[in-house]
Amino acid sequence: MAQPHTLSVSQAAEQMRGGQLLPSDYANALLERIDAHEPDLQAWVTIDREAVISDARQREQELEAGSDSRIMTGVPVGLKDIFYTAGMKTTACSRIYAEFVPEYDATCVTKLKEAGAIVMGKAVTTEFATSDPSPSRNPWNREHTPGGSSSGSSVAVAAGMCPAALGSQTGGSTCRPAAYNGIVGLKPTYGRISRYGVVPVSWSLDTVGILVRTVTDAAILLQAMAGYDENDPGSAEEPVPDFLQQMDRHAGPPRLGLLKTGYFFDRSTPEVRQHTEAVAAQLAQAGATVIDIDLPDSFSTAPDVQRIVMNVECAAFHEPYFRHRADEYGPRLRANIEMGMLIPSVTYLQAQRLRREFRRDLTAVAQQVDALLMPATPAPAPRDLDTTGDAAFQAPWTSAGLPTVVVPSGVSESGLPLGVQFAAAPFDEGRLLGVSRWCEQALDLDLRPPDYN
Amino acid sequence: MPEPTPDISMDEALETLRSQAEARWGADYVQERQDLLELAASYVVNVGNNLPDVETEPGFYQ
Repeated sequence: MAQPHTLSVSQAAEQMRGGQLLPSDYANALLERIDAHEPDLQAWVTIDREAVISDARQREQELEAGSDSRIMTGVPVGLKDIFYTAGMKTTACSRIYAEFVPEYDATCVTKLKEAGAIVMGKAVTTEFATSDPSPSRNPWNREHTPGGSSSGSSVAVAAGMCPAALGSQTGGSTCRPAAYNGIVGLKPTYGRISRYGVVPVSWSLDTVGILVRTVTDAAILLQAMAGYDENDPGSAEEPVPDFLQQMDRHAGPPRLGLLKTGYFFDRSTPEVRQHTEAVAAQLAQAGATVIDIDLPDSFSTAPDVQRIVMNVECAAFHEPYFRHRADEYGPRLRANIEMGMLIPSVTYLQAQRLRREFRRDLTAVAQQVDALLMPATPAPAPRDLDTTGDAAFQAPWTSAGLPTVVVPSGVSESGLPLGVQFAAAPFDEGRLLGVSRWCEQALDLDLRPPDYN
Repeated sequence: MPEPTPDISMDEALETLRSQAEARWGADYVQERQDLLELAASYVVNVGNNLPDVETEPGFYQ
């Protein structure tokens, strides 16, 4: 029988429903794993062991009574420490929020609990989910960054401390650390999952992200959390389909658009370029149709537009704290806030206008195929703990609000994970996940960090 | 609607940002954060010189 820490969300949930695995045994096994590896990896801010075990026993009783058929019953989930948890500190790994204890759960946390999940604890984030590096270490090589800002969430999933964790993405904070740590990351369409009760970076960019080890698990968590929330002004009134069913509908060989010219390949290392071409060839060999696709002209301003919007909105949120407590901010966040304060209001509004055109153009490109294919990052995780790496391959999609999935696709010469990224039209996550799962199965990899296997 | 003809220069954008920064945080800040100001100015220039169609409104929550 597989070790508990190697189980995916779907495997663990199935075993618990079938009575082969007790939720309390599963939770205890993961807590022991955290005890063993946390000193090395520093993925967690807060873990309430008693609450984890108590919740697991509660699920156990519900399962024994035969009254529980929920999709995530007994599955522990880590939460980036920007998600409100009633009665549990939500620090955003900052001095400003160091003692903040929310009175309510974020909507997505409530929904996870309603689906039967257990809160494992609060995972390390970079300060306020921005760019000053966190203390978390990459389990593939502790001298390399795990990425950010969802660093603890990604590390915890990659090291088998929990099968799933929530992150967020304003630039590249879910899919980039997913790639750096060799796991699956999903950034849904903007507005698909409520941000109510999530400490913001930038209201019009922030998206709740999912970090797991399989594409199917990403669909399960999306199913649990998706849907309109009147408390979130950015929440979309789109119907929520059955994502697992939609994945099955897109289970055949996909039509992929390889973004080979310009932005993505120009910025990639030769190793990443060759790897991505090899992955595309392997997928074509397995039956996919792969065509080259060009990016729209509006892509030329997309990275700058994303930074303008992020920094100005970040400055707007932090201004009341920053005015009196600037010295309590990390240097990179401080610089972002200062830049946001200086950008002219007219430039911010022009950026928001450009975003609208960019989203329209990128949607039209995405609709030509089942999914767009590109490298997940320009290079593997840098050997530098003073950076969280390069978000250049995520930021344009976040800015346009399109959904993306990162799937592990190999290992670099330096022994670090490599990934590919898929993107689709807004609210087409079912197709995107179906394509990603087909590619995941065609690549047939089981990447685990050697020292934390 | 008539088409606008933007031509914002780097020098112009940088000077505007420098004077705003000096008013907020003093002359030392401007000296120390030249890189930050130049980066911000490059964003202002890129966006200001690549305006969307004149009828496009902001997206905000998309």
